[in-house]
Amino acid sequence: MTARTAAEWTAPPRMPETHYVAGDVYTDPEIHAAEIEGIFNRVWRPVCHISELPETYDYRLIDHCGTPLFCIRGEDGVIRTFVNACSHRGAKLLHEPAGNAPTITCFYHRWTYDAGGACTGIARAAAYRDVGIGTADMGLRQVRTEVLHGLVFITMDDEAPPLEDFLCGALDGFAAPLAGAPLEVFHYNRSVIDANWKAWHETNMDLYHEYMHVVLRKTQLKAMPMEARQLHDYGNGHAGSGGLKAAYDGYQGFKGRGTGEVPPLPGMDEHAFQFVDLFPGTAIIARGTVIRIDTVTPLGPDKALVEMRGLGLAGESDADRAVRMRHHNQYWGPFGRNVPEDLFAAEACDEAFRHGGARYQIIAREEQGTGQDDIIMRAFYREWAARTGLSPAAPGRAAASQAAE
Amino acid sequence: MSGKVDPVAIQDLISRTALCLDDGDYAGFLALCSADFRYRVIVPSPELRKDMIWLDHDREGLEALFEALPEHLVRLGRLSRHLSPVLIQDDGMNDAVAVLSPVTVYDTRPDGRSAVFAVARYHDTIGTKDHQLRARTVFLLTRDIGTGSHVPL
Repeated sequence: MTARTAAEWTAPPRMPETHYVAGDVYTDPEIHAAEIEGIFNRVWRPVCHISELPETYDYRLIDHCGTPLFCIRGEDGVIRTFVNACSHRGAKLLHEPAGNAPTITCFYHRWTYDAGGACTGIARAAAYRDVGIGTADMGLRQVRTEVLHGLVFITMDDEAPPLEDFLCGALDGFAAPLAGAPLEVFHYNRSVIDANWKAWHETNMDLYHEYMHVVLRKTQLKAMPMEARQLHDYGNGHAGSGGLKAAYDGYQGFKGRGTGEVPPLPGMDEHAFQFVDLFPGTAIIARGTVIRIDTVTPLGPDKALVEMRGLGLAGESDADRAVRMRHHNQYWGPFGRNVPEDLFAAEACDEAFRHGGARYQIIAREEQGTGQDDIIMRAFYREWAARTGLSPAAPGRAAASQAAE
Repeated sequence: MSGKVDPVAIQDLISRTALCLDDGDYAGFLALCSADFRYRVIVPSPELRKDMIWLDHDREGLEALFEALPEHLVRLGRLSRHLSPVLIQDDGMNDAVAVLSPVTVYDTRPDGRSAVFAVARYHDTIGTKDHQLRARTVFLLTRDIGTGSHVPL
């Protein structure tokens, strides 16, 4: 017999609980709330790149799980982040996705703020004298912000451990490509998809899905032996790999790539390929000449915001930039050969899990930490369990480590 | 409007390019394009405060793209390009005219539902003698196109 009965289909897989994930993890509103509180409101997340804020008072709006934030570069050159809400009536202060704001003025009652988050003006402030509030009490809610290798990280948790501790060295391998020379974001797009945020991020963590993409079948699977691909679990849910290679001449549409069309990024050759998946939902992928950074933000159990950036060398010639953008767009971007397929996969998984059709996903590949081992997925869910207190295999009960306490 | 062009022929050409793409008739689309055809998708980004290029192909690149489509996991459903009446701009080119066409692209999904996929403008350059499409730049106003597309708009 090959097909399964309802009982067989719904029974937990016969394998260690670390090697599968229950469908409820993608669909349950209570689990989603636990993720927001236990993960997204606690961890550090990269939200933009310093090149998006090149000048004093440049700002960039950020969507943090529906909470509006903005990053702004102050007169001292420091990038800070604030909740994008007026201290008076809570109105959203800045509305354009990016801009320059020497003074931040609320449209509603003309309260004003500076780039350090201080309230600098209250219209007819004397009327508040009786309740004892003035500009000194009405500053914006500041959000902890740090910059590493050009990436602007934030955490909503004022008590979170330092960024360096959180990362566990996961970005060390990207020091050269990200910070060996000034980079610039030349591509940004956002897609709101009908999928749980993890279904998207799993397209970054699940290396086995290379078989879905014809470009990866032709440029990556044969570029080096599977056993030579070493995967790294850095801790805290971060994982990745370096030292990978791509053979771009394997795909007809990539003619010219890999033949010295444009200088590679610092520390890379043009065939080099490396990536890191930062917990909870960021992937940084470098392909010799160009970098992609994607970040997923949950908007609900079955809706997620995927933001994608493409980065190249700042200050390069128009001709080099055009080639670098082509290299980016070949794989990535809304018309790339790769990303639309990943987005399709995320929505397809979510559709099957949403009403209980699919019950479990299996993350059980064992290849001694090489090739297409599911070690990256298991590292993610280990951290997920620690932060939510739930078991990914049976989210109705507490995670094993917590249950033992 | 230029006196050297036939507006009906121009409208007909642009409509046929759209219908060919709608129908997946890529050979038919390329037959309407010149040998030096260039296709681009440009997207103004308020986030980056500059224009982005999301797709840029010469004819050879486009041919390779179309050729590879059957191997790809291409989005299901069907895109339909609905053109508003075109505006023919006489920009002084000797043997070509610039043509602007507002276009709305609808996505009809496998379950039969249709929704707006993208709002854009075609900026086309069309030869007046050979009546071929020499260049198309799609200025895309919609910046979130969901799961994206392997096929040009």
